[in-house]
Amino acid sequence: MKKTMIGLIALLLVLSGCGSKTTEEGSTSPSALTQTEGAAASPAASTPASETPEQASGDGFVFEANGIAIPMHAEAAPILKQLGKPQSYFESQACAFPGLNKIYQYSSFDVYAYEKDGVDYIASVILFDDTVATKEGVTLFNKKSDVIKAYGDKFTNNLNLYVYDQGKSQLRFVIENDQVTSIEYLAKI
Amino acid sequence: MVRKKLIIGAVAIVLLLGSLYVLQRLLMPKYVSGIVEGSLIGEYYKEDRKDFDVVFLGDCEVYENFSPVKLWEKYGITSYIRGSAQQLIWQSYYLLEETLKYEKPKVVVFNVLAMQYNEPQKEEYNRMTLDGMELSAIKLKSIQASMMKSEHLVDYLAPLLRFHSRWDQLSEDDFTNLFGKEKLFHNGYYMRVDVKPAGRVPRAPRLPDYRFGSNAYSYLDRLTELCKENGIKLVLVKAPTIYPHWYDEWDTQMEQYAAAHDLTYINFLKHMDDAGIDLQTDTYDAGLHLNVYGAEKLATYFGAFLADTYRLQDHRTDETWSGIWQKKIDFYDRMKQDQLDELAKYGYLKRYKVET
Repeated sequence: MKKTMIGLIALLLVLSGCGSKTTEEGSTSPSALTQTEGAAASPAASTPASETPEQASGDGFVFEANGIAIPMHAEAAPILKQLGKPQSYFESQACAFPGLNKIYQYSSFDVYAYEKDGVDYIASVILFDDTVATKEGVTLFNKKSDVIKAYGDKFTNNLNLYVYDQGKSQLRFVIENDQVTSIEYLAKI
Repeated sequence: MVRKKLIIGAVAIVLLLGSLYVLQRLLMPKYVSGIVEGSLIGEYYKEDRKDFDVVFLGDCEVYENFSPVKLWEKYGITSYIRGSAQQLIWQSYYLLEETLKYEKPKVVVFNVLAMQYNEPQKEEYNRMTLDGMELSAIKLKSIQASMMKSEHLVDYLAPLLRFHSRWDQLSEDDFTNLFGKEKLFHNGYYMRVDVKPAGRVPRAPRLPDYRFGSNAYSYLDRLTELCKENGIKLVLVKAPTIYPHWYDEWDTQMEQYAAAHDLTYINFLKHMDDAGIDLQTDTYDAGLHLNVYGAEKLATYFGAFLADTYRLQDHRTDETWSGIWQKKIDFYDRMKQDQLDELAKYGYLKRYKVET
């Protein structure tokens, strides 16, 4: 009986030790294109504790506007200061979760920020017209061949979405009828 | 001697299992302050009488935008919102299946924003819907349909396995709500009295594909079929909130679906003026959700449609129902006044730990 009890307790302890951590790792990225809701789905929720967002920003895609670099996962405040006052600002709280999604609208692009430990980081940049281009020269309304020429053919494709991965970031193109209709930089989990 | 050993063994097992049960209850999130939405689903089971005329299903666009108390006060309609944060359509379907074990409502209202999700999204949201459900085969099916790849069924059946690491996050709430929680909602409605006017919403990004996914459609078909089998009128709605974007392409698909299946679909974004909703005063978060004033206006507007179209009986002359609802009204009015007092005193809803 004693052995059975010890075995049972040991089994329960082992089982309880197998529980995974509350923070999920390696889940899908929070693309603004899918309007994933807020902080619960932000990269902050899943950035490994050992890696700060700043470290994650090091080797990813970088959008540049008027010579101002906007790397994904970079701290937002200094970048936003350089960009100047946005045309509008919108913030939303995810249903049932603390933390805010912050969206800064400039004339040709929107900057999305996520919050981690009270600091805002760049979550995404979406381009809205062809007066701005990616660092490698792709703009809205370019052809698919222009995208491949600039970024190569190592993309993942699902329907009209073409995704390039680099470090902790993605560059996502929507291409319809051989024309780029959306460009998004995204901080990846 | 053998008998004595058996008794000692049995007592030890009972004590061990009892301790694990208490430990599990202690470590599970309580959702009684701050993130209260995790308590929504569980409150339904505490209702003494569950034969509601109308049951709402869906995400925050139902539990924050329709006031069941106003539906009662204006039309004598009994209703309950079985909503939860980011409730996915398969979760809505299984919640309806489960609801039918208790009652057969005349009308089911489903908010279609969830159609944008074709696959499981986030464990934290899953938990807020699934952990609140009572254990049943239906709950198991909902878990199976909802789990992320990294999740395990056993973690839902024995949440201690999942939440054992919460021991260092325990707060007073975990102890004071160990064996029961205070009532937080009004037939599934989450009240907010604060106001934050809507401004300019972000531009809608272009999507790679506007078609709702096959999995989402499959569950909408099942929801439709389940309602038909049970003689329930299904009403599809889109709540009048302006963010996240509700694309025209999505709206068209819902119109077409409703027409093909002989259902009613109401996009309340197109009826905001008729309902008298003003997003300068009737939202607490700049247009994402309505506050209590907006939810009451929407209930008043929608209630007239429900009462007329489905000839729902006015139960206000029913003594049993009136007694039940008077208690609900008292609780509703008390909370509304309490929130207004807090807002006046602190500038935000302190008890809910919500800063505006």
